[in-house]
Amino acid sequence: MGKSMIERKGISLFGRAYGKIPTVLLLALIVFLFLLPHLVGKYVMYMTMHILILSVFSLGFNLLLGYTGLLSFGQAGFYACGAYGCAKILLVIPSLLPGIICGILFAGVFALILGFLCIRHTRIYFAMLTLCFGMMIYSLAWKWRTMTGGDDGLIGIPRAPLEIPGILSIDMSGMGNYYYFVLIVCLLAIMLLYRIVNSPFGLTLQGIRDSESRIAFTGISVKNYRLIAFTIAGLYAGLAGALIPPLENTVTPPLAHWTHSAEPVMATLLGGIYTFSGPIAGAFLFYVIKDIIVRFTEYWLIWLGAIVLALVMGLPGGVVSIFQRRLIPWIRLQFAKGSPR
Amino acid sequence: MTELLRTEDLSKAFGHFIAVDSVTINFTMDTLTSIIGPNGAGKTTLINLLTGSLPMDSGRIFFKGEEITKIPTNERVKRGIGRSFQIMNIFPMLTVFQNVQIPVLSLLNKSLKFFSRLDAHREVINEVERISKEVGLWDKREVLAGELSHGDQRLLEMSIAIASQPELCFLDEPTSGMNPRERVKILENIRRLSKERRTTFIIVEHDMDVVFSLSDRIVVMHRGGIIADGKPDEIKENQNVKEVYLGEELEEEII
Amino acid sequence: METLAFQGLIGLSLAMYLWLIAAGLTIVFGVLGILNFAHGSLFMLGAYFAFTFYGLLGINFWLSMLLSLLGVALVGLIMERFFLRYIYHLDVAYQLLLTFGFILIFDDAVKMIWGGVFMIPPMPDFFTGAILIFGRPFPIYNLFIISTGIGVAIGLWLILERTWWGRIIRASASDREMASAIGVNIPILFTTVFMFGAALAALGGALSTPVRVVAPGIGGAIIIQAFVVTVIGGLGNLKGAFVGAVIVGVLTAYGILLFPIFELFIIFVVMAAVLLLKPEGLFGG
Repeated sequence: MGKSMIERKGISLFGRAYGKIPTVLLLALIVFLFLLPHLVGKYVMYMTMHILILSVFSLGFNLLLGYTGLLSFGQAGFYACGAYGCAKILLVIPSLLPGIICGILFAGVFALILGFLCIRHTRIYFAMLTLCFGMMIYSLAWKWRTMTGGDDGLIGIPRAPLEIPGILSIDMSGMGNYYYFVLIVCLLAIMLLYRIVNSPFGLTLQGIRDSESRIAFTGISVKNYRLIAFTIAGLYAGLAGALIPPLENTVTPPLAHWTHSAEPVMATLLGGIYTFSGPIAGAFLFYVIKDIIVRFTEYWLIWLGAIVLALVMGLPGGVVSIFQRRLIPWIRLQFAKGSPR
Repeated sequence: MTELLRTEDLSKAFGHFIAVDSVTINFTMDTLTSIIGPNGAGKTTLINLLTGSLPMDSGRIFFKGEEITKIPTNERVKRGIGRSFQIMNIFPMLTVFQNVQIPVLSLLNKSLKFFSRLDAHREVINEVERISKEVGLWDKREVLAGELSHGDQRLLEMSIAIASQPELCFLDEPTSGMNPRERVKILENIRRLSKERRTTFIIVEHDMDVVFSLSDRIVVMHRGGIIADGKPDEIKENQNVKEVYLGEELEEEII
Repeated sequence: METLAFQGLIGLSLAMYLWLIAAGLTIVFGVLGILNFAHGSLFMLGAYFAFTFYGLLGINFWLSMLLSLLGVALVGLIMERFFLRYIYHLDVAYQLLLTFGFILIFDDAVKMIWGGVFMIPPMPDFFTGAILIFGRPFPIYNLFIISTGIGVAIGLWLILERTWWGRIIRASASDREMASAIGVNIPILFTTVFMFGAALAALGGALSTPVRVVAPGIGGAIIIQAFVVTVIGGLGNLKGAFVGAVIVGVLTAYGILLFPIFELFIIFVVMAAVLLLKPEGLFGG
């Protein structure tokens, strides 16, 4: 039983076998995140926002890698589309929602168009093609000065208020309110994606990952499904990117660079590709590792690199798989010991 | 006899090697047909052409009177053509239940539901349960397909194929690599399914015991062409077939 | 007209750096089946080693070149023997991630050792100066680069076609199991091939020192260009890599001249077009 029960299809929040413990932990985590502004300073809030944004970015990426079996190395292109799209709108219309929504849609349209071309390939060729399109977007952001501000990027983007005429108007100039905005938007996006991966569509994607030829013989058009997955991943990258300009007040070309595309790859593989929560855990680790190491040395990338090597060599299933296999059974065991017979 | 699938001068070459050489053939409803022939005779290639897994060089294919020559695989499946593969082809990282769920979702046009839970579709669950029980995999529904025994994997692959409820289903060497007990199980299933579900099976098989006990009709292929076609008794007596198989054995002995 | 021809020559010398790095990338991909993201970092290490030996320690130019090749080959040995060897069976995503980890390490290690600033190393005396081509001065050093690149191409061709080692490489590139069956020691072959590829990248890097800046991050920039080159020529196709390098080099040179804004963009358009229309590369079959 053991192994198959624990590794069972992997993709569920933590694996159904563990009963209520994860649900309780999850609720506690969400409550904690909502209380966070009262507990910590601006710096931790700022970091948490980046973790949330990278989580959304990586979850979208993992819809392609872990669920559909496609390795994209150009997600930063769509992230940049979201960021630049949002920034352009905010510079004209200082209102948060139009900016974010336009950013997402802009990225989604790009993903739909480029996805139509990319899904003709799989494996290494898909990775190369996405890398190529990502770099095309980068070169446009870098050189198309009139539109994108060139290598200076777009600056002075306002953290515009959240306004719905006649209904509400919330000032975002302080860090706290924007934190809640990012938290709520990201949690909604994560819940939505959780629904999607556990829907018939999500299962069908996993079938494509496991066997492309077999799934064609269930009457599924593989290309259409891949295109939908690619577009969703693009929308998620776009959302992640669109949350950036109000936070940083600036967007620059490196957002589209391939090294930025490597971030969700790293986060996802660190956390584990065959678990829904893997990318979130990976995003958290990524920033925590960075934050801790930077305190000791400015050369934090060397350590991040070493950790990447160690994890790929020693733990290719990702961190969450260890959590599933060792930690949760251990906690259950402790609970079982403690309970009276 | 109602015609199900018909080809006209179907051909396919790989470089200079002609794998299928202008084959014109007709498959009728409720006739369990076996395609036999020595290795490299073009059996699997023929199936690949009929199901759309490979593009053909020339010729035409008709299914239930309509031309399907240019229609992609997934559309052919929707019209009622299914298959299993010579090399095991299942969804190894999903459970047995999910393996069968995927084709059933597709059949009932539910694959594009983005936001509903999987267990919200009662009729899908019931159908998966029925199929898994029929073939005898219900007890293993929670096991990862990749961890099943070889025989069970073959059985699962057939279940995936029939879950799309094809009228015509190709099985490419359904009993290869199986032990005798597993073999009996799969043959029982084929017989039962052709009766109960009115699925017409076309089987590529090497095991002559299986072929002669199961088939209503046998088609013999050699070097891309059809050299004999008839009832099992006729094929047994056919001089061409004897020569091909005898010739093959002789060649093997010489080598 | 003369301007165009002259710019073509400049493109050709640019192409030779790309060729040297793409050659190693291609051989490693062909034999080991690994797309080495850190290959550009090996180029960068080659440049830093050469800069140290020649520019800082004042060792003879040729000896410095040789020492940097050996040094980077040694780094390659460590990479292959202790890391890559254990992940050949893993998905391509992990291979890319592992080699990406090396990029991070090498980039920061270089910053730690040599500092984060740009450095422009000296040019050996016998290479200074220029000759007149089409009435314009063309640096002698560029001619040296072009001839070295072509020399390496011929040398590689001879090694692969005429030597025992080359035959083994070609055999295992086309069929690993077959090569293993005829008694090739695959682990040793992989290690030596990887070291050889690393040395080729280092040669490119070392040769670039007198004319290009040496700085952390040049590896990450050039690896993308090398990917473009190998994709245009066809992944794992050495002949294609050479022609691909020439195409990209010359295109870049003309791009700078004609469309200074979209020079980079055009390169990626070409790459995408090849991937979409002829993914096996212009010279693949």
